[in-house]
Amino acid sequence: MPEKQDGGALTEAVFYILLSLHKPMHGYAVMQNIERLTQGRVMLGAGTLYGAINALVQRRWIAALSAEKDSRRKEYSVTPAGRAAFAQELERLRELLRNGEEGKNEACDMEDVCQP
Amino acid sequence: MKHVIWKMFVNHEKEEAWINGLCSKGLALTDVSLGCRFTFEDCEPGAYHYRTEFLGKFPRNPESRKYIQFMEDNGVEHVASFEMWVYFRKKASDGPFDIYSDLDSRLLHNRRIAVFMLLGGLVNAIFGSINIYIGVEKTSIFNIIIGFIAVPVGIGCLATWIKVRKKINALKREKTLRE
Repeated sequence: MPEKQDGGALTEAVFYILLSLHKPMHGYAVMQNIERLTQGRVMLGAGTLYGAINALVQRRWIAALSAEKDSRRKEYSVTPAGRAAFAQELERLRELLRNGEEGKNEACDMEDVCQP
Repeated sequence: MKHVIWKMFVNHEKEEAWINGLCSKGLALTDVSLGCRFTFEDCEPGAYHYRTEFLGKFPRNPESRKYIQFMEDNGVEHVASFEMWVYFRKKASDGPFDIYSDLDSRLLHNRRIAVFMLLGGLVNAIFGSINIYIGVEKTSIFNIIIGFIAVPVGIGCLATWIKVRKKINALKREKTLRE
């Protein structure tokens, strides 16, 4: 497990949950926020959301707001560690996008393999 | 009006499809007991989407309660529980209803079901065979009847187990490509 701790891609669900929880909200609001942000492309299943929230709390990337502990609709918020993980993921995605959009392929510069 | 239908399933997907099929004809599931006694009431045809889920824990378990509460807080109606299975529904007007939206969580759910079907299948098949044996040895009709119920149930569960295993493998293959 330690090997996978850094650098791996976050799942889409985790990415959007972390993004949403930069502002404290409860599970249902997270679901709606994600649906709105992706214009309905990502509709998180409640079971998937439940699993992801539990895993994120265990990982201490998000935390339940203590004042709301007894409330039925628990609010969650991203922790500093969660913010860091999110920032790192953004960096990874930027690199992905850069490389993808430039269509960079160093093999093509050296050989003729990529000629049409 | 209340309608009661007795039916037994060893395949959870067929059960879910059957429940949704009846709902599209105007019968909405409201309760399940004994695992084979389904209670329905009249509804607008297709008013709900139903989903069944295998929790892997009994509904009284605090973890299960927390989960069911979470579902209800998220606009999912908890219709019934039977042992470790729960029946959820959502109004069809709310759009599509999936409990799991990514490969990881689907995989996890199917793995839980696979363990259940394998154990349930083996226990029923063995228990049933022993009963048939005893029934024949001691000419006990009771044991023979029990055996002839348990053995097919066991075989059915094992057949479902094989189907779920295939599904798990397909999900795993898919997971090597995307999440």
